[in-house]
Amino acid sequence: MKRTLTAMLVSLGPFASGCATEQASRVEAPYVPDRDQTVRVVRCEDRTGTQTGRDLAREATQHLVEKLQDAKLFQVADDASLVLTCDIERFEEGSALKRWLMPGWGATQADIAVMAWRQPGDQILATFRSHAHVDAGGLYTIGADRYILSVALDDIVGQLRQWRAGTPPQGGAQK
Amino acid sequence: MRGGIVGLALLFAMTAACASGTASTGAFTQTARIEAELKRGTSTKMDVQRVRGTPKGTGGAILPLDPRPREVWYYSDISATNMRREGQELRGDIRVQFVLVFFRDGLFDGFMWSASTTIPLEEK
Repeated sequence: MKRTLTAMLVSLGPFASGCATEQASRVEAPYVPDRDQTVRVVRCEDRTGTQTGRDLAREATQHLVEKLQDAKLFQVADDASLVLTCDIERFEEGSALKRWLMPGWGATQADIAVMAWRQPGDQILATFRSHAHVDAGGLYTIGADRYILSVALDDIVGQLRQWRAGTPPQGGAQK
Repeated sequence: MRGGIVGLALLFAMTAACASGTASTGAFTQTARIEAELKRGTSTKMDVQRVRGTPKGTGGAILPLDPRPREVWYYSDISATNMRREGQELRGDIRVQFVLVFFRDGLFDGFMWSASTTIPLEEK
């Protein structure tokens, strides 16, 4: 029950808070349906250098695995030849009070990059990036720092879905 | 009571307007780890990703005196701190770091690093 409620709040949060995302992807090789049904997710790296008291890498990894499973895009397995690496490149908690006082001040932001590899052989298949941010809004945007990673990873999973479907990437490049 | 809240809000807003601005593309990544943890001719692309993160760009290069093509990964970190208005001028400190990582036959083949010192920015 608690998990369902949390999932609902996380899902509704972005709509109620003016949360926005920008994406960029670069596709090096097409998705191969017969080969790439399973995926191995390497633990995300927190490269933000911020001291939040939270384990952002663990949170992001958990979100990514759950979203991949929920979206039914891939089965997650440790021996898969399709590998996803993940970097949290930026995380700013921001402040709902500051946003309320002056839009743009106290923005909550997260940048995440995910690379798809084929192993062995170190072949890069695609790179996906998402920038999620809450720049403005009243006190109802309190807690944006709790769901901003999830929003960015929703965007990444959307890009993975496009790559899987063979749809040309938005805001990116395809070889 | 209501006047107090409004006053507090105005104070916060004025403080915000006076605060020095900061903007960056993210944390500056330490390049020392490249030399410490990567070995030329041995380390793989995934090793480089683990040490340096996802590249901001990728491409290829042929360097002078060596016609063998190399793959290149590009990284950059940029930050602007202490941004402030002084009269008609906007002043601040900009720090920039660029790293190019070279691969030959898929293996780490060296890197090039360039960084600025603190450069005052003037914009009239």
